[in-house]
Amino acid sequence: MNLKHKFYQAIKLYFMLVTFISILLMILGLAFDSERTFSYSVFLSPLIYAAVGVLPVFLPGHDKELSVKMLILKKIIELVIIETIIFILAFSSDTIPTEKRTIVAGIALGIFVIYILANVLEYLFEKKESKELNDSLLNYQESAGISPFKPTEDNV
Amino acid sequence: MDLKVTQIPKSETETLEIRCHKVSDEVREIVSFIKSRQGMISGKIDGNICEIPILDIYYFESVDKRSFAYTASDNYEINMRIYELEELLRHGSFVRIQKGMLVNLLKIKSIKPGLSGRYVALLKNKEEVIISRNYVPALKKTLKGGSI
Repeated sequence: MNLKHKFYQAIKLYFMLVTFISILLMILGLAFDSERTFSYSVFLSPLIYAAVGVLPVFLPGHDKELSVKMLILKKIIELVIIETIIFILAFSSDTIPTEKRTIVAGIALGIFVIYILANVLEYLFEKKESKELNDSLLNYQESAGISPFKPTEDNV
Repeated sequence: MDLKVTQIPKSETETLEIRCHKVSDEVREIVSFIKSRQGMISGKIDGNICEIPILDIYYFESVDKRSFAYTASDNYEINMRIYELEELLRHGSFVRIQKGMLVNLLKIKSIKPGLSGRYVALLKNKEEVIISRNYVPALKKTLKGGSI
């Protein structure tokens, strides 16, 4: 994957994560710490956490395409990296009451759910695209007949 | 190398003859091109050189700088690089789906998602090959281009 594609993937994932993280913060806040008030700077939190969440996209890849099993393993490693970074940020921040166990568990579970949701959404989008690809493939095969090589004037 | 094209009457058999001092790589390339135009390509299996109908090839793959053609049951070493094969077969049904792989679109049974923007092509011999996300736009373009 070249840098341009990685950047495109990161942007797509970033906005998805901003949405999910905002929802997660709202749910966790209402459930465990509804009395707390924040300054306007708290609006930056989802943007910062989402930026952290897209960092694994830029991890160096491999020339050879990974098998689906290996890719799932890679995604699990990515999730562990994201959880670790978010916890480092959460524990070093004053705005998140990490002294409460429920909050810590909520963050861990929330990140997991967001990660799964982001991947499920991506999968559903790809499934829709694969249906279009299959339709185009069928048309192509029907119009191509059986010959895999058709000489044309310009390749003489 | 001089090039000579002579027009002959229809009653005579068309012949292409290469007269050279040595069968160099350049000559082999020309021979490969001519064979591919006739729907054949040369490949090596168990040390024997044989002609493979392009129609029977499912995909070409580059492994450790060597190229291989995979049919339903065998694989043959091809004396050409993937980019050369891509150029040679650019008007055919072969498209690049990975840095080192060309697939025959007529041998794909179906395409399913492969996670992270990639797709998995299930071939008619039940093998699966990954379509890299980098090559998805070109694949879409080829498929939507309609006939070959």
